[in-house]
Amino acid sequence: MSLGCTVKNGKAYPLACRGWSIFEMSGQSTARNAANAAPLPKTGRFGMLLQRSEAARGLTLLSPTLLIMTIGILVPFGILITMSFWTQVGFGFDTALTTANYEQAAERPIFGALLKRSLFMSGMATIATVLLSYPMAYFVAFHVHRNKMMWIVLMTLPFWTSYLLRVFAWKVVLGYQGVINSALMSLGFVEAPLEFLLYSQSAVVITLAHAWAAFAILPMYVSLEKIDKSLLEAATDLGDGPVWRFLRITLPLSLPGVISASLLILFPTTGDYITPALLGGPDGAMIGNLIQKQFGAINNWPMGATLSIILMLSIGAIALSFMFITNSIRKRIS
Amino acid sequence: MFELQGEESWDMLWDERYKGRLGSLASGGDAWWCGAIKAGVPLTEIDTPEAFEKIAAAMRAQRPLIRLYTDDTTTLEQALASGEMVAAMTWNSSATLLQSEGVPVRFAQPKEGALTWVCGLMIHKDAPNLDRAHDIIDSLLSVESGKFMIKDYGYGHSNIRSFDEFDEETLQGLGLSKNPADILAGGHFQIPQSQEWEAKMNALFEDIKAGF
Repeated sequence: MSLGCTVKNGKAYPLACRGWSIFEMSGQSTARNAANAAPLPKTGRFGMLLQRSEAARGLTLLSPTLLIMTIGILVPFGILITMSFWTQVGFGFDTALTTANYEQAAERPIFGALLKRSLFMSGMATIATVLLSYPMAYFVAFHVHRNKMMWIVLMTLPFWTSYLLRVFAWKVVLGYQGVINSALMSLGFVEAPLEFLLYSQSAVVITLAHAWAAFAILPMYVSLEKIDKSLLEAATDLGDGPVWRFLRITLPLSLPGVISASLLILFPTTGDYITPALLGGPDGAMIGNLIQKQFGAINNWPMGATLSIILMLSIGAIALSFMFITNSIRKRIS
Repeated sequence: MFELQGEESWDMLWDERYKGRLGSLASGGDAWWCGAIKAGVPLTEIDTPEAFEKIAAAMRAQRPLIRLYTDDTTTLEQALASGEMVAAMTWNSSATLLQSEGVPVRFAQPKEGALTWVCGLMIHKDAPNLDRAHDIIDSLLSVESGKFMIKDYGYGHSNIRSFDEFDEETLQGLGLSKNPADILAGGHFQIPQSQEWEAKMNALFEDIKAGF
């Protein structure tokens, strides 16, 4: 453990390392306790096992999480998979296993088109969020020296209201007689309200970019914050201007934060349902809306389950290729 | 806002001149039936393959003209009030509500006839407190309830004496009449459909709304 820590320490994971060292400290104290307890004969068999086996200790620490993961994720996931092989008959299910739903999902163009559109829209939202959040994270990491905590709390400000309220707020901002349109009209820039602002894909992208900003700022802030400032000084000493210094030192070292921020936004927004439902209009519907309708008006739960599985698989594929690409890039660099 | 050409008709909601300024309820339970009237399908024959084909064609033709499909009547009402939409498929309660707010709208009386329906009550076979059901039915049938339904929603009522609270002119303005048979005869009456039909219709209508 401590070896892994020192190896990683100099490079990209001091934060992770901090996490490890807390673990280590507790490990040390357990060891000390064990040394004290050794002369006493009355140590329970379970306690002995815990002291001897590191794996058992780890599993015990993990067990509450594992329990919740099993009950809250694996069991529903199993149900979802099973249901995706059923078929709907009236108000009930035909529980004979069949791949009919998957065949239908492959055959009918609507599913693929909506999936593609969802990935495109959340991809745009991810790019917009990361581009807009990076300067904020950079500013707090490098130019704020007092009250950093207050700045970080302020960055989570949008999260103090409910997600639904934030979406509705954007409806008011982008609406036909909304903030932007009335401002533009009273300033005389436009004669009639701009209709493309609301009920469009761009409305969904704008809203998602705002609603998920904190998820982008925080990981990027963490990776910018831990950059060793002496590296920047060294770059300046060796003749790099501010732009080159940023491109050669700051940006590559903050990439882990950028990547985790991107994934953190891309995945949940792909399946987002309420934002496109309220702001997307007919052309802004996403796969989440169709899944909701399968469980609602269309009343075809197995098809809804199938679409959810397909959505998860495509997100999984993206995550894997992302990991593959970053790993190969990292190998090439080092 | 809406320049009428000829008589009021369902064609108003298919008018190319108002592309992007028309709205509709999103539920197939409402919109599909209106599509049937527009396509000239008798509602008694709505569960036939030809009907599906004809109505789907009508809904596909309407899709590019629609700014928003929503089940949120408030959104439609606000859009009509602000001028974002010039016409929308709604139930008469929206028109009545907007009129009471002084918004210059009216509930169109299409020459093809409007869509009508009747709500009923049902008692579940295992329902507890059966003795109180009578009280609920009584209160729903009371003249006071009827007055509220007619005045605030513009809906008809199953107690004929509720209509006596209003003069003929007001009732006509709401598209109602003191003779319930007139109301039913003036529109196309929604009839119960099978679960299979509902599922098939909803799936198809969702495809159409998504642009397929």
